[in-house]
Amino acid sequence: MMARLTILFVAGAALAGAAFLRNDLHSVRRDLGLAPRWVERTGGSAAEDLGARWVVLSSAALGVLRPLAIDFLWLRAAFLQADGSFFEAEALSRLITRLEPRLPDVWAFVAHNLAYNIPPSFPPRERYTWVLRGLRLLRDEGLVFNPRSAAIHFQLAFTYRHKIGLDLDEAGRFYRAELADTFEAGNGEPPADQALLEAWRLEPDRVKRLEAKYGAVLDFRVAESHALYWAERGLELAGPDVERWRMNLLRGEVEGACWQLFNGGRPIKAPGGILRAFLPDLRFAGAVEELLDARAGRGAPDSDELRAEFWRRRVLYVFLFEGAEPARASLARAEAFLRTGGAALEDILAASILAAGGERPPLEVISGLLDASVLLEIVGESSLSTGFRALANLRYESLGEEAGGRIEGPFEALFRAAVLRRAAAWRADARTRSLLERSRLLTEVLELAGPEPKVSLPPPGDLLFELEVLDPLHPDNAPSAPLSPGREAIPPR
Amino acid sequence: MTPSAARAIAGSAFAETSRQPAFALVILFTLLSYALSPSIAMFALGEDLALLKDFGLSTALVAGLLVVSLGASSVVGRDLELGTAGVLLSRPVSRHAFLLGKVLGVCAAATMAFSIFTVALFLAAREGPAIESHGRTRWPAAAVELAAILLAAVIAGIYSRRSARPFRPAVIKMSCVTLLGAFLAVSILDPDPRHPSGFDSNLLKGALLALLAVYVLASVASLLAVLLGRGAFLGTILVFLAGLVLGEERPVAFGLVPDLQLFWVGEVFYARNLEVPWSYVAGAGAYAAACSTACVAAAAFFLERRELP
Repeated sequence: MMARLTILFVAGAALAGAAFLRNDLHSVRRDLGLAPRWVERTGGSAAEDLGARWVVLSSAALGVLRPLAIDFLWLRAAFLQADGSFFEAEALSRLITRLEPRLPDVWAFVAHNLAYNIPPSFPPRERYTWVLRGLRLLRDEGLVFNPRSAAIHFQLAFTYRHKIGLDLDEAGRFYRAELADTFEAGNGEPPADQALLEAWRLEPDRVKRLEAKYGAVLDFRVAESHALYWAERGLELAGPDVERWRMNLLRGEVEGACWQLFNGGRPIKAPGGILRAFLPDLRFAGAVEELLDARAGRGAPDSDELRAEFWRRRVLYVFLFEGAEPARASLARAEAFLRTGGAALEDILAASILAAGGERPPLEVISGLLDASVLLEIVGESSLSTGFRALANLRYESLGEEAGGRIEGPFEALFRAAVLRRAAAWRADARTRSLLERSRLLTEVLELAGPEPKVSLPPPGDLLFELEVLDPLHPDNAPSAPLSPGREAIPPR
Repeated sequence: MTPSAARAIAGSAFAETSRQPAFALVILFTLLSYALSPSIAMFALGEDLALLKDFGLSTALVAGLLVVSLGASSVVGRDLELGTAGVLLSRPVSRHAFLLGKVLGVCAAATMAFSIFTVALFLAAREGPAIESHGRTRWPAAAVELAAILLAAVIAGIYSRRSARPFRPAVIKMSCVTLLGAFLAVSILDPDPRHPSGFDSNLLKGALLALLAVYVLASVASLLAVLLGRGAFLGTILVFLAGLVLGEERPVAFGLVPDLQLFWVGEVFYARNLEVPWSYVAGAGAYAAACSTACVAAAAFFLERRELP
């Protein structure tokens, strides 16, 4: 009896000792970063916890079967994707990330594949869901297992800035429209919805810190605001042992996001349509100026060219948004970088217009600027519309000095011709007719007595800032098949 | 309980475990997987070597699990079920000595297997996955391992012929020596530039921690063998899976399941400039000792109450 009691006592004491040691050892593991990643999470569903536990199990208990499974899944997923079985390929790709959860480059590769390589197989309006899948994989899963990974933060920022923010994909305008829709309240303003920010893993405190740093409220309708957030987050969280080139990539994303925000950080929605034009946001001019100065301070080889380009654009944007006098003040500051030898504002702007217009004939450039003015007028951006008209007038006035550039009729007649051209289509549609009637300037121009101007304006071509999408009758603005996030499309076979 | 009786039983349990065909098969399969591992650790996007070390340790852990669960269910469970334990215990041998000897014997066999695994894993990690498809491999693990095992087989053949001892356990024992010798020879002839000290200390610590996990599993297997007989094999595998999955955050009902996550440091191979401290290995050793003591004590308690045929 005594022997049995002794045995029980020994077993109890050993168990107590084990429990004591266990807590200590887990604490050491957390300090070393050896603890399974889900321990670092706050919240998370039971399914997510189960998924994370499976990761530990697959890592420690599969032995040599794991690399064999990884090899097979990579090859099979590539084959399925080439065969057009995108959903199956995606499922296998997710399984791969579960078998290699601690490799940030694997997450980045799989997400890049989802966001970049699969969408072109779908019609433009059905591609956004794949871009979102890539983003979600990184944001909601990859960062859970690699919370400080520079590679995952970079891929997130890059996908927002490059895939959604730029037009390398013909569906870029739809991506931007979908993202803006998600973050736009009914009145066309960005919402102050904390739940939405949390759903997109945008920490409100960090957002506030960034807004203080850049001196501007981040508008998450714009993809580059997301890019800036994730790149800055990556720079802040990446540990000291991260390779320098990865940190440089993140810094490059910050610079790229600021540059794109400066050039197109202000969305304007087409009335009654789904698309948006993204106009320059001068709130980021200061941030870009600082970044370019810092770049020059580091001795980057193309710094002078970039700074000259920045100031050329800044003068143009200030002229468009604020008028001639503020633009002259900007030009005075830009002199050190543009080295114009004291050229007049008009010359600088004319040079900018020429650069933007490329090889197009002068009348076509003027036609484009006036068309932009008309479109901005109908969406209620009267001040900016005036800026475009002033720019068109500037170009018109400068034509006398160019050989063969003379245009018949006064400038007002040209503007009236531009209005009439748009009005012809808008009057035929009830929706756009009411918009037309709401604009005082356009109504006045249309009601002007007298014959139609004799000048015939050439088609405006591509407008600055892709303003043509503001036309409610633009074919891509038809709300017939707007894509809802999460909607699945049937892949072509 | 007499130490000499426990020692004798341990020796016999070690011999019995290492004579099992399954024991040799597990070692052979593990060696084969290590020999091929530089070729199968692909698709890790630059982290192939980390993946190799990670799954190499995992393979050793699973192989160790198989060794101890098969060994304990055989040398403890079968003895109790078939009544051979009763014959032994009819002599002046206490049940505690019987149990402790069996556990130590199984652990010794696992240690021998683990020493082979560790050296083979070091050889594979030394070779590493090919960086380029046309790169030349220096000292391929497969060739070195094969040469060491062939040498072990020749020596064991001569030894077993002269001493009339069984050939298979002799090859396994001799392989420990020849593999270690081969690793040392290769390290001296062609030092690994990635590890000036000659080896990856994290890999050594990881292998030691995995061995400690295997000791815990051996004691769990012995406890289950007392309770379930040869069903201990399956039971130990379930405890292994539960011990890995439950981790730190676990329901109270599973509080008695050993926390095997503490012995798993696969994360360390993917981190840069991270070193597992020896103090952690020592703490894990103390935890393994406490868990093993609790299991063996519980097994002794149940063995005391058990009617033997």
